[in-house]
Amino acid sequence: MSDQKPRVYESDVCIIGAGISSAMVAQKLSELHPGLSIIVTEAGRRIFDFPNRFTYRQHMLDYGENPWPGDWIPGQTGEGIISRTMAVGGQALHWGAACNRFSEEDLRLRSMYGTYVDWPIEWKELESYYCEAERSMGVSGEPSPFPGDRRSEPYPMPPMPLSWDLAQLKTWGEKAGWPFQGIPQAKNTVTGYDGRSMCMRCGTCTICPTGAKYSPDFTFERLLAQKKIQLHDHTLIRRLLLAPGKTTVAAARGVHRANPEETVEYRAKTFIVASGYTWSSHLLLLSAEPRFPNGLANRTGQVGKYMNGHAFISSIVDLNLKVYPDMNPEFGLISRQFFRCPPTAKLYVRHDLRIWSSNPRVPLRLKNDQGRALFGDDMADDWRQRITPGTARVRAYYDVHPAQNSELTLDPSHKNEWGDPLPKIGHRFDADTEARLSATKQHVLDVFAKMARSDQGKILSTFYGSYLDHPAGGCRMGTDPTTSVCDSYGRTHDHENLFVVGAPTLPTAGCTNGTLTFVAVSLRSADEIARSLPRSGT
Amino acid sequence: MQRRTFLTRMLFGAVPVVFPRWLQLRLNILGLTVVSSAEEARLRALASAVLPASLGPSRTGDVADHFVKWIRGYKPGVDLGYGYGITKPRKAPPSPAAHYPEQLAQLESAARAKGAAFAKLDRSAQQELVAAALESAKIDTVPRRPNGRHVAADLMSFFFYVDSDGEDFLFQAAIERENCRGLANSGERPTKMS
Repeated sequence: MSDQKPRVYESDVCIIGAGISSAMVAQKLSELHPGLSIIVTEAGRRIFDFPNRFTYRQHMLDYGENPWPGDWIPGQTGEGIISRTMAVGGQALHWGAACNRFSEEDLRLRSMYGTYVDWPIEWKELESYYCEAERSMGVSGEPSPFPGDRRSEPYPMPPMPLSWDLAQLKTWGEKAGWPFQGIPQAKNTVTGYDGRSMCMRCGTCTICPTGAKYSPDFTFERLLAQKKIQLHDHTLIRRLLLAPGKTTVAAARGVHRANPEETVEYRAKTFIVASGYTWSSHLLLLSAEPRFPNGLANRTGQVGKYMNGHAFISSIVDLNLKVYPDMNPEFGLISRQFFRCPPTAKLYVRHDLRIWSSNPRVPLRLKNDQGRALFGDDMADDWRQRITPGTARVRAYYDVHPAQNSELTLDPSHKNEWGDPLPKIGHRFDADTEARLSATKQHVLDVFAKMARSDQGKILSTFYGSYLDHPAGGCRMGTDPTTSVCDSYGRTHDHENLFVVGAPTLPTAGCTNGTLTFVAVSLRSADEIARSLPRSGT
Repeated sequence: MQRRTFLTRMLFGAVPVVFPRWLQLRLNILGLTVVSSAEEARLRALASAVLPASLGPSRTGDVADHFVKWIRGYKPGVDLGYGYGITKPRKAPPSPAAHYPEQLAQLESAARAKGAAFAKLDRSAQQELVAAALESAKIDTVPRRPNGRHVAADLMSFFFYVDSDGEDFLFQAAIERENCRGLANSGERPTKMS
């Protein structure tokens, strides 16, 4: 880092990273502590360009262009990471907005099943934060039919109506004996929730042109307009610095990417690392100093450990049921039938079960079986004769648990343009997960087969995920500093004014989409951070 | 009209122009895909040969026009982002249209060898020439996206896969994938199209 005197910014709170957890924490702190000075730093850029979203959408449809151009930083990548997104809003710019809750079993793995660990949070408390997360983002959904999924509050908005194809597929899925429902989503089904539009079923949620889908850029724009935060984008924080002679963090130091010769330094009373599952651990490891030679918050060597996610299997199923694709392509069905597993079951297996409509996997061919050339109407007729009435895509995210050495490390052989080693993530399962893996996969395949049989359908292809989806971990929460990085609120065991929020703190990734849980635990962290601050702000 | 505006319109289609071949090649090399008036006419003839006759001449012409517009709007090297689970960002490859002029010219030459311009041949004769060209290019299915291997295959790809009208045609239903369709009627079966 440059030896020049840094440009210094001071605030009460410095939040590093501007993804969804950051947005939620910034918003809540500003509500709980009016007048609090908050600076949010983000390595990527802000893309506050709502009026042009229809144009970006059209370019994506026509040419496959990135609908969020420049939402990544050249060279700032790593081995084993899932997403390159670095922009204000983070990965939740692109997200499909699925807002499934985990279940109590996820938090009680040790006490119910004798495997892995329990979370240091009570389900009842997390459930109340799920409700808050759903209100904050604006989630539409219908209650699950399972008693174990009971809610203390209704969904903020009614469920998205099932498109015609999904209604057919729900009937099909339920023939196998398992209830399906529309996936709860952070998409407006009424006009005006949070000042945003109602979903118009544009089918391109990667970039929602109407703003019906929640994404954190809306929150940041609003907080900026209300002057509740300062947002420093293009700012890559490279180190956290401890106060001399203390274990509190005094500053975050980095670089403004447009002015790389100048070092910027953020001084604050409280630091919140909200940099997602990759860059949170990465920053802590990069911040090694003589008193913490393995990185900050890493006295017991737990930073970067227990990186997690869920494994998945997908199949394409040909059906006799008439189904049209693309009616609402980013909306699907879920069954929570397999979220629970009796503690006495021979095999511990938990997974979600999803259905989407799909395009037939049959190409348009230029010659028929007799070798006659096909064009135009003949080609279309030939295709229609070869497809089945409907095609579905089914998927199960199944619960797997990380080994301690499922880890993020610094890779000295790959450095970014500022000379910092880049992250390398290697996911590894614990022994219990490895032991049951083959039986788990067989169970999922049996479920798919039963579904296909119920319509005399046929499984065309099966895909085994080669990575863990909805990744989390690296700064595991827990009560024991020898096996965790932070407490249940994200406060690091080693530094009282340093918090990590969201995905990195999760001990496991459950068996369904993680974002709602990332937000729920972040909101819980925000309450604790607010309690730790003086009432008057500055 | 400002000079820059005029040039932009010339390049991207508001003003029909005939480009000298040397300029066209130069612009193609620069990544600005130019479709001359003559090539537009050839594309329209090709569209009437390979697209469904049931579309009728007017809709077939529209598809050809949309394809030309698509070619003109193609931006080599533009950010394509990174797929989920893929960490390497991608850039748009060179325009698939780079070789369309010669492919269209080859079809035209083959037609002339049969004694008439391609546009003047009957549909089955046109299809015979296209089939031979696709066979020669070893293309046996319509690509999911235009890829430049042959203009005829790319034109079909554009209609059936890129343009949502093509999907509606295949399914004989008004799915209207590209439209923002609202939630009110989403539970209804798509209207059948003949």
